[in-house]
Amino acid sequence: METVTLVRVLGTVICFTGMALCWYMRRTRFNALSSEKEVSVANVRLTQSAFWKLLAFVGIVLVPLAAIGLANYHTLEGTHKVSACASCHIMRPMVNDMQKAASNTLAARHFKNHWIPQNQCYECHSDYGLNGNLQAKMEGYRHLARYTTRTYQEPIKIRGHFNNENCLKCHQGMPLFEAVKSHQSVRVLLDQSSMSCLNCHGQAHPSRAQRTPGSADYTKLMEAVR
Amino acid sequence: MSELRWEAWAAILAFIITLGYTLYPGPYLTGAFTFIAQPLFALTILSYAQKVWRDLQSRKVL
Repeated sequence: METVTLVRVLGTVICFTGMALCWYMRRTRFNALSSEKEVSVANVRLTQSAFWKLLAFVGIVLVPLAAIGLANYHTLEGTHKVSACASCHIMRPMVNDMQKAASNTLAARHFKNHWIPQNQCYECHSDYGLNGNLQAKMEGYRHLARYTTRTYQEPIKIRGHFNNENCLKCHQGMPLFEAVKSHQSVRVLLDQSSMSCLNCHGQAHPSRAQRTPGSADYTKLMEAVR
Repeated sequence: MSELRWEAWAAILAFIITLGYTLYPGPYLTGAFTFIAQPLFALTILSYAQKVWRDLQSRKVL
């Protein structure tokens, strides 16, 4: 069973369990429960009061914590997939361009030559996800807030600096990379991200002008690849 | 602890959002889970903890 399916099944079970417990809990008057009457659960005998308080702890604390944990895992791991990025329409020009065979942007070349076989967005912007740092996660939440409240302007642009480590983690140490003399001469600059790989290797995605709504290329970029 | 009425309703709402997000993880449901369901769960748990604390104090356990 795939992890996504497992998360969905588990998430559904947890949420329905939580809803059922909270539904029974919503009108329970804990003070009015008897401390003498007993309730049997399997081989355990509890007073009615203790039983309902235990159930309240499970329904109000334990099950919500499980739901939060599972859904956050779903969020952070779900961002690995290209389809997750493409679900926001502002990312479609980048994703569609990457998947077009005719495109020669850096992302498209990595895609069509299978240099990165899967999760292409995440592999180059790997600060997201469970392994990323806190700053990257906060940036992800900022993106989410801006997108869902529609407080953004197209074309979007990357905030801050692209970390060369995202390129070097695959290329550094490889014979083809090391054989290029210019890589040796700018090694320090590349390591510090004070020089971008894109200076020599072309643009990663369509330009801002191409991604501007109303431009000639925008409509083509928004068309999904079939 | 007398009752957990609003906590139960808040948790039910949060569970509904979480269920929707788990099954259909689009950007809006992700936003709803992150910015509505999670704070609701947090408020619920904190309010429950406060009630339990007060209950234990009133019974002189703490």
